[in-house]
Amino acid sequence: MSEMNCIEIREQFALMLYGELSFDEEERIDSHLDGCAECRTALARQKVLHEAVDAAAVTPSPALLNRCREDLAEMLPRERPAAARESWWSQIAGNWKIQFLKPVGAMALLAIGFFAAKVTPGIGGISSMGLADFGGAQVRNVAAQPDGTLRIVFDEKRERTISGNRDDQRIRQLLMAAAKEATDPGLRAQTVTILVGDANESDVREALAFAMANDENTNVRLKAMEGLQRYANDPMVQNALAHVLLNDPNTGMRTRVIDALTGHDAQGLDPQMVGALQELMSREDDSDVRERARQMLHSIKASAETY
Amino acid sequence: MDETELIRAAQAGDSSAFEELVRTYDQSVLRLALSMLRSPEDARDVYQETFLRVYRNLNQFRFDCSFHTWLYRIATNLCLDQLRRRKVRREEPTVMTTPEGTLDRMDAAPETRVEGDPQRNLFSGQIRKRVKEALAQLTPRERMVFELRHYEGLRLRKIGEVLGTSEEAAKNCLFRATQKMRTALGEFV
Repeated sequence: MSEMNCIEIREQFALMLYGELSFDEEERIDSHLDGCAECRTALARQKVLHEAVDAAAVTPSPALLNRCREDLAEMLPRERPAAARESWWSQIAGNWKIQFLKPVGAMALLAIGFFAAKVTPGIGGISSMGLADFGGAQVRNVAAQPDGTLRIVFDEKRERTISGNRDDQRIRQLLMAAAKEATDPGLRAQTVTILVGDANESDVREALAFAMANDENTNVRLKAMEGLQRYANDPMVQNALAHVLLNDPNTGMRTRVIDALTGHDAQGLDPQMVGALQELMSREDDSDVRERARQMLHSIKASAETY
Repeated sequence: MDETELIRAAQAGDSSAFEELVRTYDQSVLRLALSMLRSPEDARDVYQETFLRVYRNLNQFRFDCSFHTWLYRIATNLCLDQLRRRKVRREEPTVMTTPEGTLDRMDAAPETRVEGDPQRNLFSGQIRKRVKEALAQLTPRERMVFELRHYEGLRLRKIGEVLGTSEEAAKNCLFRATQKMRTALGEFV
């Protein structure tokens, strides 16, 4: 056998020990080994090496496995069950709604009435009103009277006017509620523009994030994003940006998300944002957006592959 | 319940079914992460993120591939991302921290074959040290293919599926890895 042939044969030993050669390839090697004592010795050495590597296998300690399981058991309840959501990104969006509604609380309820309210006529005029006329009115109690009539107690909504500075909590709460609930997109855009000036406050950022991710009007979403761009380090803002990246129907909005993240290193990006960029690679139809996402992932040394 | 039934139950929100899926595969995932990253803390992070991503995306799993392949795809991508970042940061740890203290990764490996023979123990310790150094010289991709084949026992076809490449590409990668290992360790055997 030629020396070259021996080298070729020996190069295949590792794959042979892994059982990854074809029948014909193994036959060729076996046939060679029958007549080559040096290669038989080389194969024996390769087997020793194989076993040496084998002996270096790592087994996690039961304590580490238990810690991992405990961590996971602790974290899973914070996630909604898989079946209860459309996607994990919509679940993230759901979390903002909850967070957003908590601080607003009763004020949001009041605001629904505030924006939907009409000048309520006197009680004698109620019989002529439709249900829609009650807007956000809250029925407190219904009781049957001895004469067969019903007695209903409800909170009456009335139009009110308040004045104050932007840092007045009542003004801010109403602005945030208007950005979310007002039916007029022009009014929502106006309130979002005002709120941008207070985006250094976390509750305002939450309201803007909600508008950016959920408002049906592109102009409102865009204004909200412009206000949040400089706060792209905030994990909550990044979650909102991730949601926009994967769900916003407007290509320009998706492009702007990536632009907003440009310049961030891997440590500055929330893992969920990295995951969103990777997921985007598999679902984005626009080649320009896809290319920007690829470049972004490349710049932070993350894989462009999808999970 | 077989695995398909377990997955469908977990997709329907059955948390005990999801837990059973985790218990079926979590030791393999943790072993792979620990072996690749050589840091219990990083392995722990990969473990958490792998199963959280599985949980979040389970309703999107359409049985286009095996659950095992899908799970490993997530875990290997997370490990590779971590390795690539480390390569940039030049922070490859050489030891791991355990509740019992600092421990060299290779010293933690079982030594069932050489018990009671001090000379062989010493020799085996040297080999493990060299194996560790040789593994560290592989590229992340070579390392992953090698780990999956040698320690996890996955066939090349499956490794190709997990890493989103062809069986042939995985074979070439394994070939390169074994050549490097042989060159690095040749003098010891």
